[in-house]
Amino acid sequence: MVNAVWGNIFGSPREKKVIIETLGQLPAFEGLSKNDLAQVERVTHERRYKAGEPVFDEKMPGAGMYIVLSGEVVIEKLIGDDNKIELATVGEKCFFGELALIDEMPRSAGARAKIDSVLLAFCKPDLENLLEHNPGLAARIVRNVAKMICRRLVETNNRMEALETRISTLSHKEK
Amino acid sequence: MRNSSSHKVVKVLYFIAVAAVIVAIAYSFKILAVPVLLALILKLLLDPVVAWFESRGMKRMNVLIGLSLSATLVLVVLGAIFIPAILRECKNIVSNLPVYKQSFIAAAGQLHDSALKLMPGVSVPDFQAMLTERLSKPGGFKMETLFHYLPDVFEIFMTIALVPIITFFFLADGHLINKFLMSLVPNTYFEMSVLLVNRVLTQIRQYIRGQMLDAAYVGLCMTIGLLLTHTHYAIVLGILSGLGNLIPYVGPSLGLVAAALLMLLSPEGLTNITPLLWLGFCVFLTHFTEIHFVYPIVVGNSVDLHPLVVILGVVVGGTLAGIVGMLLAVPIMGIAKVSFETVHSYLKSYSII
Repeated sequence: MVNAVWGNIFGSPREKKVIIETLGQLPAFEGLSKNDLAQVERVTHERRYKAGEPVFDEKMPGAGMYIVLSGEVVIEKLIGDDNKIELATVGEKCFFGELALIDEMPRSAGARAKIDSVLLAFCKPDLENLLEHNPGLAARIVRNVAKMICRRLVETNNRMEALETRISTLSHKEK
Repeated sequence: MRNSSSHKVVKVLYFIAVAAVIVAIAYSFKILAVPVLLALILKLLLDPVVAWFESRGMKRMNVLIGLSLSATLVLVVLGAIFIPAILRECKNIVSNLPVYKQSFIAAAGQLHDSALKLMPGVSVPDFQAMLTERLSKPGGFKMETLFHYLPDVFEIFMTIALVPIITFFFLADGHLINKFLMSLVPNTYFEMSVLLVNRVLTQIRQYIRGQMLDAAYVGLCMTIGLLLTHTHYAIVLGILSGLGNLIPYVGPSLGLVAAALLMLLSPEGLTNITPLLWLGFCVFLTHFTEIHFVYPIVVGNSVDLHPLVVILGVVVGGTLAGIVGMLLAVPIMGIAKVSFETVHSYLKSYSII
């Protein structure tokens, strides 16, 4: 009833249920109850980006992570002054920028919408509010994010190892 | 390119028009300003309580309904205990006003006689005659007119009725307002706005919570102290001291001055000064413990406003909205100062200014 009144004035364009379902499928919100997911949904922000529009720039203070509801986002890194290399492309129901949830350090890479995209932002201040008022829920999210960061770290280490092996093989061949 | 810049102009004009409409509505419904502000303050104070219950697995709407029912029950019980006492005290003050008026005139007469004795031969104006003439002249100053500065009954009733309703909706769907406002921010400034708004709100929340706890401490201590010392109108004076404490420099002395005046002007006021000494001790003890123990904990690094800014703010607040304006002037200035300082430092860190 209340939502019906306010929904007409401030109504969000995407159905709340769909967002809650999407959140439930993400590893960052694994093991959260429907009530917990509803609390997370309340603090998320839906953002629309046109193709080519930056989501955030490298080296700027990070506010939080983004979940791709539709579209594609490119993660890119600046090499030198002008050259940008694409590190990854993030598709639907995937997320990026999760490091900013833990620390307000400058972004290690930039993000740009590849095509018209709809993203869901979950920001650090909201996670901090949850930590203060609902530590149980916040702890579960932080643990999930930490797990994801660990997994990505292992992946990066494996890649580094593979690259080092390749470089040493190439240098042996050259000798 | 031209299309995009014309879009920007249209956007800016649109937002100016929306802002103008909001200001016009707010101005037309000045009566709503106080309830909305009080509801916002209550929302900031109650948010952690609602979140605590939610963290125990309760649904937000159930928590809000439970909270509303409990708050109503507590208010009814407290109202049943305190409202008759407050009304009785107010009624007594009003019915005793003629007595106070006579005491005031008599005190002026005593002052005149003492002055004549001290300075024989010097022409001393007859204070008593002057006061009698001024207080009895039609259209002249009457002590009863002091009550005209209080907000009228309709305003009080509207505020009491509206505040809980607005607070309920703010608590239930405040996130939708927040989402709506953030959706108006262009993508380029989204992250910066999220961090900035959060920092400002955290500061405001701490400031309001601290001030409220501090005022509640002073109000409670003064009421208990005055009741223990059998001072007349203890509850009204205690509430006045607590509310007055929201105004720095002026506030803490408000309760003391009002209580001292009521004591001095009572029939036995000038002959028995024991209650006055008890009052002084009570005020000293309350403010000593408040300044040294309570304030540093609950308010901490609060907003330090310059005394001149406080006085000018209180005068402007009083002129615009009477006693309510005087009480809200300093918190509003405090919020404005906290917001400005945070925004300024943040924009600097983003190299925008």
